[in-house]
Parts: sequence; structure tokens; C-alpha cells
Amino acid sequence: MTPSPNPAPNASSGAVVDRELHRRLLAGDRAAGGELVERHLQPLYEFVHYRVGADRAAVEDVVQDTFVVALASIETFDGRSSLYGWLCGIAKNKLRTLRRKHKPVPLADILDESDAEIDAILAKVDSEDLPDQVLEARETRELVGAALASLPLDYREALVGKYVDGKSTAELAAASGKGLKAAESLLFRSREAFARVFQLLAKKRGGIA
Amino acid sequence: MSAHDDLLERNVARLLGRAYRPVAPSEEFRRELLRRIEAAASDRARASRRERAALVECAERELARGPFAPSRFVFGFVAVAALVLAVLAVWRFVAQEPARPEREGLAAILARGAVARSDGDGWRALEPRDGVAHARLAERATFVTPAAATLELAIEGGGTLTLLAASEFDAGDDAAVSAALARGSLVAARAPRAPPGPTWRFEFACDGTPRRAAVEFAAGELRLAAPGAGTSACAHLELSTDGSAELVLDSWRAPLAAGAARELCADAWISAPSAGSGRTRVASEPAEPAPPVSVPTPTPDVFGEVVDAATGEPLDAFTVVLAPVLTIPRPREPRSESFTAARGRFAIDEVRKGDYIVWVGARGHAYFASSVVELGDQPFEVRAELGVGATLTGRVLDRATGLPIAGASVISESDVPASMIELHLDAKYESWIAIERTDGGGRFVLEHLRTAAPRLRVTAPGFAPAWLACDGSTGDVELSLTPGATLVGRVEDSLGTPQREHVLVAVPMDSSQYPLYWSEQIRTDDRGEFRCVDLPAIQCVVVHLGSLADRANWSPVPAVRYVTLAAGEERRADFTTPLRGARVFGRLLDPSGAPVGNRTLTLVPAGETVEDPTRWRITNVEEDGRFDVRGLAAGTYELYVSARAPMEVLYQLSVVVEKNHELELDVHLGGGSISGRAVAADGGAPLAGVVWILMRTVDGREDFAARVIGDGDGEFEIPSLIDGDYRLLALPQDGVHALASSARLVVAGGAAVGPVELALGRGARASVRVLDTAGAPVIGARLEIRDAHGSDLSLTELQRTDTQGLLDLVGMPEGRFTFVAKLGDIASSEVAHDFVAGEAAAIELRLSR
Repeated sequence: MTPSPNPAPNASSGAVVDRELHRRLLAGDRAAGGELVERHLQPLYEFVHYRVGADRAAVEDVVQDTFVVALASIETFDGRSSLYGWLCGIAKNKLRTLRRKHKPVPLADILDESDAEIDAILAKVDSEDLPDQVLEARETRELVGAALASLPLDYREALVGKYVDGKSTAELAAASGKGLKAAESLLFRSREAFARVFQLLAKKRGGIA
Repeated sequence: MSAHDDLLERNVARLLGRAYRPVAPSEEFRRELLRRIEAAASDRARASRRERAALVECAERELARGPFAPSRFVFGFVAVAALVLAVLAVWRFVAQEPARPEREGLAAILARGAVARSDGDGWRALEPRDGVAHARLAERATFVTPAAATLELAIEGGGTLTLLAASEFDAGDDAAVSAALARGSLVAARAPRAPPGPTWRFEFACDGTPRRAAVEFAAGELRLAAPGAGTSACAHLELSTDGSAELVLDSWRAPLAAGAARELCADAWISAPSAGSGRTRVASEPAEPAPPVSVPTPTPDVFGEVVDAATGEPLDAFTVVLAPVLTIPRPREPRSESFTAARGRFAIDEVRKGDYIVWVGARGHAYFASSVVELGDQPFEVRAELGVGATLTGRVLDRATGLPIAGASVISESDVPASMIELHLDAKYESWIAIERTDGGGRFVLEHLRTAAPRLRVTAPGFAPAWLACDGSTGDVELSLTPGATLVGRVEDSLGTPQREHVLVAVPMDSSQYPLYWSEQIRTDDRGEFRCVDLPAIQCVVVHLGSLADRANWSPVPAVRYVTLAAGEERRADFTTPLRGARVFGRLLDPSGAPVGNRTLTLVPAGETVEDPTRWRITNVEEDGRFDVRGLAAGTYELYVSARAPMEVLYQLSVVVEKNHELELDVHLGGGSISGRAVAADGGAPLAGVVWILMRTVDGREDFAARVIGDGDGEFEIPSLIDGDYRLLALPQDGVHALASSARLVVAGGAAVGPVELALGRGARASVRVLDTAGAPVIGARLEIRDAHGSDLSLTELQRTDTQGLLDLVGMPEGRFTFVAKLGDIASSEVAHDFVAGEAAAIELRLSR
């Protein structure tokens, strides 16, 4: 397994971390800006990547603009979402502006159409064992990345930590400050959410049965 | 887990384990992003400082208008938290780290992100501050910057900055660095904004032969940066093997002639402020001269076209207003330029860099307003299409009576830079569109509005201001005014002295309720009082900034008072300021804690016990033991309390006073005492009028502690002594007897020591003359006299040599004494003399220089 480039931060509840980070940003703590970037750069970058396509420069522009706008308007963050969710919202606005200028790529279209539904997906997921050759396909890799990038930060961190970094549930629990049961529950919900999003994208793409 | 769950986990594990390929940002991008974030944070901190300075500047300007009468001004909004944070941000600003003086390896310097400088004697590091390293260049120096660093050079006295041929090198490889430096260092220019603005680079083809391009300008600044990744739209110099050169920016090219000066377009950030902004002359040193070519005309800071929206025809007469964007009380006045016979075209140059809204207005048309734009950095083009606009009519009434209010001011805040306009309109605004006064029937007509649904602001004397968001419906609008609220207060110091010319600001707590950001600025009158009328009934915070004459010492955390204003009612906000200069006050108490009055308390700067009595601060202690000394300079003082008779002083304690600080303390007189008497050694007769000097030993050093004068019976008592080690000196004043010194006397636990009897023998006289190196008498010198044990006799604290350089001593006891004359920091050599009773000695001392 390849370690993820952005391992889950060793912190207690994400909401607590967000509140503290938000408080420090409002107070003008200059180190807090860097921490915001370090914590969210990787997932946000992926989030934007799968909505822009292979244009690295455009991805970097959107990501950079998102952080700059976020820090300039941090006082408008009302805490109803996570900081990551708020950043994604800003990024989506940037992406809409970008798409007025550039022809969107198919996957970006799919994800854009799917965004409104992703948050509501928590129901049962029908799946079957996936063939090996499917796992090796480029399209699968794109869908995996896109699905992962569309999840809430704590879901993403749990899945990457477990299935990419190879951590045990106990290790995940310790890293997140949750109890073992809570960590298991989070993993369960993360898998369900991932499967749902992945299935949705796959059905729309028509490439994976 | 169920079978379904097992399957799900299996698939997810396989998908993530085998098919997941993280898409990660490059390390370079990450670093650049962090740098931008830090730069933005730094900009916000600077903006906070500007806000603070703007507040001061605004206060100065507004309060400098003639005889001040409390009146209202409209400014940008200052939220209390923002104000406090802003001023705190000022004081939290990190001071620039000086360049390290020590030399170290170039690779080590670059590896930690610093810029390296060499003046030919090794490498020194210039540590970046906010991502920028600063240096001054007077003659020749070599700078090497790591990737993504910025070096800001201030060129002193003009001259030529030579950019040498460049190469890439690995900061971790000293050999490669040295080889690269053999060909020179790369210094590139970058626009102050991050991409996608144009980025300038001066690159040179490394064909093994160094090529040079000289950047020449008058004393000023050149901002340079190392090449970073992701740059685009680079300008660069192209050097050909035939020695010619061209400066290239995208599709714009300018050949360069040897020795000739060329001007680049204003897009070049490279600026020489003293030579005019936005211009840099670049000359190359090719072998053969090239023919001169024309260069593009610099573009004005703001330019554009004004047309009638309906016909598209250019308008001849119009006004362009550059209104600085407000976040706090306005930093500066808007800039207004009127154009006539302009045929729709205008250009405005030399705009101070900042965020603005550009307003364009013409008679018979509604205003045009841009969004917030940054001017002064890059040219900004405006196309203003002015329409006829909408018309709005209405009435202003007194809510209490229903009667119309004549002379009320009505402003459409959607049509003017309203936050810069006072609540009580000055006559200068009368000619502005969208500002009207109500007639006798309380009616008003606003024409040429940009929108049919503007936000209106109405003010009238005696009434609180009111705002109305119109909904665009037809028909008259109606605004009802309520009685205004009044805010009063007083500023005084700790002693109740009124503080005149102090500046305060009243700021609304809830900015959402007031889309027009304002704050009431106040100055106290001669009685230290202020009064503000016709305020809205809102919660506000009153901030006391400080004395108008002492802006430099305004507190970074000003005092605030929260006030809820009420219609028709008066509310107070009072402030107390510390005294200017330090203050020492308190009570004088006896050992039992009872107040001791009717004494004199003296503060003497430490170390200057007798040198300069003019610096002593003397105050009376009141009957109830209270004392108060004000206006002290910071420092350490020895505090003395008088004994029961004049010229009797008694040391109590050392006091450390900080600048402008108020120190309250209880001075407890000691409970101990020393008593005694002086008698003649021959016969034992009491000696009257002997001056007794009490010395106290602290940490091995003897200091003056007290002085009393013996009575007619030769007796004395020194009361109120604190515990300690003492020694008595008896100084007879009869000119016959010699001084004497007691043994060590210990006062402990407030005990009474004595009676101590000193027998004074016949003394000797000494006539001491002090001369300079040329033999001339020295006037005003003092003497240090030490006995055989090295103890200072402290006999002559206040005595100085006269015009003949003479100082007569009486009462010298028998024994060996050493004399040293001092005048300031000049001293004579030591002269020793063995005295015998009745002797009249002559001693000569020469100053060493």
C-alpha cells in the first residue's frame, strides 16, 4: 500500500479542530493560515482536480484562489459546515467561474451534477466483488479518486488511513481521539458513503458494472 | 458483519488499496501557496497598521478645522473588536530581523531560505521578513537568492546595477554554486502581484560567455526575485552572439542600443520613485551600437471613456471621483477631477496605490460606480455609461407630532460615496447629485438616481439619523424621525484634572443595523468635557484614544465604555487618564501603622545624593500622613523623610519609578533609634551644634542615611531608623575639634541604640588647593577624603573649591588621610597626609588632565 500523501492529522474531533483553527484565524494568528493549508491542501486539491480535469495550472489556480479568498473572508465562516466543506463551497464557486471560460471535461460534468446528491447518500449500497482487471483500469482510478475527493474530510481520512495507509481501527481511533466503537462506526459510514458515491459515478459513466 | 458488509468492505479495500492514486500538489506549489498565505497575512497586518494610522490622521484632519464644536462626521466603521485587534496588530508586528553579521557557507544560507550577500569578503545571510529580504546597495555586491525568494534592493545615490549572466544551481552543492557564481548570479524582476500578473525575468543565454545588461536608474528601489516555477508571460532579455539585445515582454519587443536608455512600459514594476514611477531605463553593452527605436507611451493609472447610456455618445463634461475604500475612519479625501470638452475621454495619473471605487458623474445623469478596484499599481480602464436615472420623491416627518420637517438632509447612499459624507452636510456637498434638503412641507425630490430602490439617509437637527431602504415602488416615500440621543462625558486624570484636547471615538456596536458605516469623533473642551447630540438610539462603544498632542503615546489598548443611547435622553461616558510623568504617592506611617504627618519627604535620584539638589523632589507630608509627588522621570530614587527639625533628613528606602507609572506605597518609619552625645576629649565638656552624619552599610557599601544636629548639651537622637548596620560621624563646627567616627552600630528589631558618646579631640586644619595640570586654580572641585581604613569621611558633600581653588577643612582628626580632588570625571592623584592635633596643613592636589 502506498502511504497517502496527506495522513490524517492526529487530532481529536474534527469539529473541535475546526473551531480552534477558526478562532485562531479570526484572532490574526499568522501560523493558523499555514495550518489551514497543511490540513486541507491535499483533499481540496483532489476535490478540484476531479472537477477540472488534467489542467494542472487551472487546478492550482483554483486551489490557490480558494485559500486566499477563504483567509480573506474567514469571518464569514459560520460554523454550520466544516472548514473543509466551506473551502469546497468556495472552490465550487471558483469552478463555476472557470467553466464559463473553459469547456468542461466529462468527469467534471458528472461530478458537478452529482454534487447535490452526494451529501444525501447514506442508504444501503448494492455491490458485488469487483474483477481485478476493473481495479487496474484508468477509469476506475479516476472514479476512486473522484469519489474519495467528494467525501467529507473525516470520511476521507478514515478510508485513506485504513485502506491506503494500512492502519488498524485501533490506530485510527487513537489518532482521531475517538473510542474504538466510534472509529468503527465512522469507518462503516465512510465505506457506505464511498460506495454510494462510487456507484453513482460508475452508473453515470457506464464503465463499471 | 453481514455478508453485504463483508462484500462492501472487501470492494472498498480493493478499490482504495489498488486503484487509488493520490493526486497531490507539487511541493513547489505548496511552498508558493504558503508563501502567498503568509504574504496575505502580512498585508492584513500592514493594513491594520494603516487603519491605525488612518484613524490618527483622520482625527487630526477633522479636528483641525477651526474652532472645534462637537459635530458629527461620517467615517468608515470601526468595530470595537476590529479597532482593538488593529491596534494590537500594530504592537504585535514582528520587528525586522537584522542581517546576520557572521559569515557562513553560501549553500547553508540558501538552504534555509535566506538571501546571500557578498561584498567580496565572504557570504552573509539576509534573513527575509515577510518573505522579503532587504538590502542597501552603495557600490558593488553580489546577491544570490534561493528559489521563490524576494530581494528588495535600495540603491543609494544612483548608479548602475549590473545583472550578470545567470545559471541554475543546486543550493546544496557548493561546487555547483561556485561554478555558477563564476558566471555571475541571477537577479530577476517580478511584478509585485502574484501570477497571473506579468512576471519579469532577466535571463541570459549561458553559452559560456557572460553577457551583461545594465539597469540604470536614480536612487530608489528595485524589487527583485529569484525565478520561481509556474511563471508565465515573462519578459526577458535576449542577447545575440553579435552582441545585440532585445527586451521582450510577450509580443512586445524593444531592441536595446549600447549606451542608450530605453523606457519600458508601466507594466514593469521595476520602479525608481525619484525618477518617476513605472519607468526603468535599460541599457545593454553590446559591441556595436544599434539604431534607436520608439517605446510605448506609459499608460495612465486610471483612464477611460464616459458616454451617454442611451445614445452611446461621448459626454463632454463630467467628474471622476476616486473614492478610497473605507474600512475605518477615512484615510484620506477622495480625489475628484472634472473634465470639460473632454469628448468622453479622461486620464488620471499619479494615483496613490490602494483600493478605490471609481465614481463618474455628469449633470443630468445618474452616477456610475465601479466595483472595488486596486489603483496605482496597474493601469485601470473605465467605461462609464451614464443613464438618466430614476427619480424619487418623499417627505420627512416628525414621528412624535406627524408634522413635516423642513431643512432635513436626504442622501441616496446608493449614489454617492456616502460613508465619506458627514451626517450634517457641509455646504461643499450642496452641488452633489442625490443630496437634497426638504422644503417647508418636508418634501424632497431626488433625481438621476442609479436605482429606483436606493437606501436613503435622513438627518435633521434635534433628531436621530434615519435610514430607509426603498423598495422601488412608485409614490412618495415617507421617513419619520425620532428625537436624537445625547452622549456626554468627561476625561480627567487621576487627580481630577480635566484633560482638554483629548480624542475619543463613538462607534456603533451593530454594524449590520447601519449599512452606512460611521463613527462619531469627539474632542474634549477646556473642561475636559464633550457633548454629542442627535445620535441614533443604539448601542455604541466609546473609545478614548488619548491626547491630541501626544498621539505617539496613545495606548495600543485604549479604554472603552459601552453606552446604550436612548432617544431624547442623555448618557455618560467618563474616562480617567494616568498622570503625565511618574507619580509616587501614599502614606507615611510609624511602626505601628499610624499616619505620621507634618514631615517633609524628599526623593533624590539615586547616585546623586548631593551633587545636584535641584533635582531633588521635596513635598510636604500632610497631617494624615499622605504625600504625593508627581511628574517624576523614570528611574531609581532614594526616599528621605525629614526628622523633626530642618536639615535633618532620614533615609527610608529606594524607590524604582517607571515611565508615566503611578506608584502607591506606604512608607513605614523604622522603630529603631540611635542617640548619643559629643564631648571634648580633653575635659569631657559637651560640644554643642555638632553635625551628626549617619552612614548605613548595605551590601558592603556605605551610604548616607541621616543627618541631625546635636543640641546645646551636645546630645542628639536619630529616630525612626529601619533595621541595619550604621556608623556615626560627628562633625564639630567650632573649628577646633576634630571629627570622629563611631564603631559599627546595629539597629535590629526596632531597638534603641545608645547613648553613643564620642569624644572629639583637637583637630587639625587643612587648606586644600586644587590646581590643573598647568598650575591654574580649579574652581568648583570637590574632595574625597578617606581615612586609614579607606572609609569615606563624606565631609565635603556640598563644599567646593573657591575662585582660588581653595577649600578649608577644619576638625581633621589625627591620623593618616588620603585626599583626591574631583571635577566631573576628572580626578587628581591621591595625596596622603598624617595629621596631628592643632596642625594647620597645606595640601595641594593636581587634576590629571
